[in-house]
Amino acid sequence: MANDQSTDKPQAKQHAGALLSLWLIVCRLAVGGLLGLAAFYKLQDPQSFAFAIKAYKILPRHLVHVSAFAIPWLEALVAIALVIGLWTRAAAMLASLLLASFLYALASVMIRDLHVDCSCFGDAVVLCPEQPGWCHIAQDSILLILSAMVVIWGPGRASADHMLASTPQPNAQD
Amino acid sequence: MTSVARAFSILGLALVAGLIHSWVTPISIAAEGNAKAAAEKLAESQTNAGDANPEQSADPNQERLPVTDPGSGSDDPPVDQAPGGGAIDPDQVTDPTLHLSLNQLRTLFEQHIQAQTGEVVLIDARGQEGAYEAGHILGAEHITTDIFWDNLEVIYFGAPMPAQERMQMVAPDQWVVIYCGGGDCDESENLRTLLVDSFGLENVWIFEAGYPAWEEAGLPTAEGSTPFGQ
Repeated sequence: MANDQSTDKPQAKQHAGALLSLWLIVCRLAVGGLLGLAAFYKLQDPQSFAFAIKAYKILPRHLVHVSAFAIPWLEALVAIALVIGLWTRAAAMLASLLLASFLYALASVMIRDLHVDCSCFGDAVVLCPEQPGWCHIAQDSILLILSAMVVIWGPGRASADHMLASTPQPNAQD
Repeated sequence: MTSVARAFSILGLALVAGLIHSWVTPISIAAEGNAKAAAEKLAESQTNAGDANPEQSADPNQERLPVTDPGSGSDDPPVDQAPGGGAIDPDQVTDPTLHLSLNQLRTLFEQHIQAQTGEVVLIDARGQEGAYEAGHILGAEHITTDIFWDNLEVIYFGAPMPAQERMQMVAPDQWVVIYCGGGDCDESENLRTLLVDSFGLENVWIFEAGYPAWEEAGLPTAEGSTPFGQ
């Protein structure tokens, strides 16, 4: 009996670990997928995105120029890293940072009652209407929670990070 | 390497990629950037149209806004009166950015727009969908930079007309007043840049307080897609 219990515990742990890995894949794909889509649309028209950032009236002019290019590229790199699970925690940290900034920007224009387009996905409308509103706040909050989970629990088993970690190191004997 | 160091690496990589991208695809973020680009695009199309149809580039004074005065009676100010009706003397205005106050616009409105003298063109530059239809200053035409940008038509006396053609009907010295949603409104500034650069207009003013202030003051407004309502 005592033996059965001791084998049950690792099995239950394994089961929970598998479930967590599966959930982490969902988190990574959801955050990475949406950030990737946003980057894809924004990179097609940096001029429009620059005007959109400017309309938010948060950043000074010289930072608008930098952000118009850096944000979409950051989204793209973070999306790729999250989807393949490479440097996952770092990517999830950056995704959380991006999403927190987006939430701040959205809340800011809503409070100031500025009539701007969200431009969350460039000129495309995905999931929420163009005008920033509660739909965007909810969408970004959910994504922020998902990316925070990846920061806390890591990439899970189905990731490049996990594969690299389990590969024997050539210098391990030294 | 820790996750924080990796995060900084990704950030650095994004900055480098962005830098290269900005070098390949230059952009403009000047306040009038959009208007400048629209003006250039418009100038190109005007050159092309001018080649095909030389009469189109005739003296714009010959195509002045027609004075349509269906029922304002004999109380109208004389047509040859200076635009602004003495309400504003440009030489005495200390604000070099040509901004109008609510009272100044009210005077212009009563003397010219409400009376439909055709001497002052009032433009609602709000690009937000449905904002103009929901309510605008009585007599204001709906013209935005996006209309020029996308080569769309405006409604002029009930009939659709290319925005470019409509603005060519405005004489260079004619008064134009632009307003938008109030506050630090780029839409008005951008449109003014476009009108000055591309149509050579000299008296383009901005009513900075915008529609909210006008509405709050209980001054005449209209709903619908035409200047005077419906």
